[in-house]
Amino acid sequence: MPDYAEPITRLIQQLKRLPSVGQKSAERMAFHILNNWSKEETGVLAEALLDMKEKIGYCSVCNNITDVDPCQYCSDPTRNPKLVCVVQQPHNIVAVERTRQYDGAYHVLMGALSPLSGVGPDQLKIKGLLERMKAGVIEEIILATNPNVEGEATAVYLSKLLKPLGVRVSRIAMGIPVGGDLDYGSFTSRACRQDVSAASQAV
Amino acid sequence: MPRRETEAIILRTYPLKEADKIVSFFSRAWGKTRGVAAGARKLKNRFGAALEPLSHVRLWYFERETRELVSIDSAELIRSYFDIQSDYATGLACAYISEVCEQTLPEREPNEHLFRLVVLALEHLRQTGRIWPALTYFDLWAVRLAGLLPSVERCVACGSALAPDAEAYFQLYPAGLNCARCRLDGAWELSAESRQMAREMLRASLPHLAPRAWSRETGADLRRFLGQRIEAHIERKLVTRSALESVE
Repeated sequence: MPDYAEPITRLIQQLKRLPSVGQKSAERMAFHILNNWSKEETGVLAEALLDMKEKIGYCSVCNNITDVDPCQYCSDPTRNPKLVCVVQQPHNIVAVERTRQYDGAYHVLMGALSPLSGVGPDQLKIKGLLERMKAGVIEEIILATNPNVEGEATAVYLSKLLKPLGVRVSRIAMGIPVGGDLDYGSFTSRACRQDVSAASQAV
Repeated sequence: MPRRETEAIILRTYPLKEADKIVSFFSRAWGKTRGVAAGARKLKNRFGAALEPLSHVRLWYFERETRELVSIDSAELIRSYFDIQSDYATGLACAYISEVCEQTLPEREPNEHLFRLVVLALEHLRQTGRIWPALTYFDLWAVRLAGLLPSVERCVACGSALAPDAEAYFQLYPAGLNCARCRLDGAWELSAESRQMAREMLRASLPHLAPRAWSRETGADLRRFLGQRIEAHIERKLVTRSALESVE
């Protein structure tokens, strides 16, 4: 089988390991770097990759990915420490931050209950959240797990665990988004009716 | 490229590319099939909650002879089991049912009896919230429908009939029950009560079983016996089975 020169083939093989990158995309990227980037620009990319792997770790308080410990959200004095938003993955924090409506703290579970994937309560970072509760500062916890079976199971499991500790536990609302139009809702399907009835319910 | 319409149970979904899903579903008319649902992970998608695991849906999809994956066009919920899965124990039971179907069903082979069994077990879970009777019944019938259930009435070694109150033992290989005389080293006991339960379950439907005080221990030996048959058949461990052992 015809092949490219060894260094190009090696780069293509490595790029193919990235999600959503197949042979064609990897070839396109490799040849773009080869033809359009200077040696310095390529060095910057390589350095950025190494830098990320060396400097990035997990926040000891909330499990967010960070280059400083505690992370920017945990060490920010302007944020409300009484309010904690629980998310599944570190990148979910960015999604919540984009709303510009939330100024509390975070806690990252590093996953959701998924029996089929072998993820049970012991695999999630729940212990750290319970440790934070012991300090007595937290008054409300917002469960911002994904609106799917795994996220919902995680939210209900956590609410059963947290409510007896005397904090207010709430769930992000699900249903018709602001800016949406009721005319475009598929009210003939039971799925939509279920979404609507579930909207704004506390866990 | 024929457009097919079928009733189906969604077994599992996997993320694909940026916003798509690979959906494994158990179709009533065409058996276990896998397909691509384009855009199913977008906030605004045409599938809604219909592709959540164990949803009972009506599916429309296109199939090409040269492609293994079908293209899912639309889905409409017949019955959602989203709410019962928010409880961890019930969710685990649902995941177990899904995993057994996913692992034991051959591709594109209709199995009306198993389809009805899955719906029956899910409905029982919804109505009672008790996982152990539903799982024991599901296990027993899933093993039987797959043709993997050995006789619970005779010793597999000497062929003698096992009296209803006699001790019976089972092991991974050979499949089947042994009498006390033929018991092998390291075999587990299948209690007379569990064998009676199996007989009853093979005669009566799940909602019509005699009332019992079910706990994790009730029929645990029977479930272990059945679980071993499934795992021996698929030649791997079921992920959800070990998780179920920790549920009260």
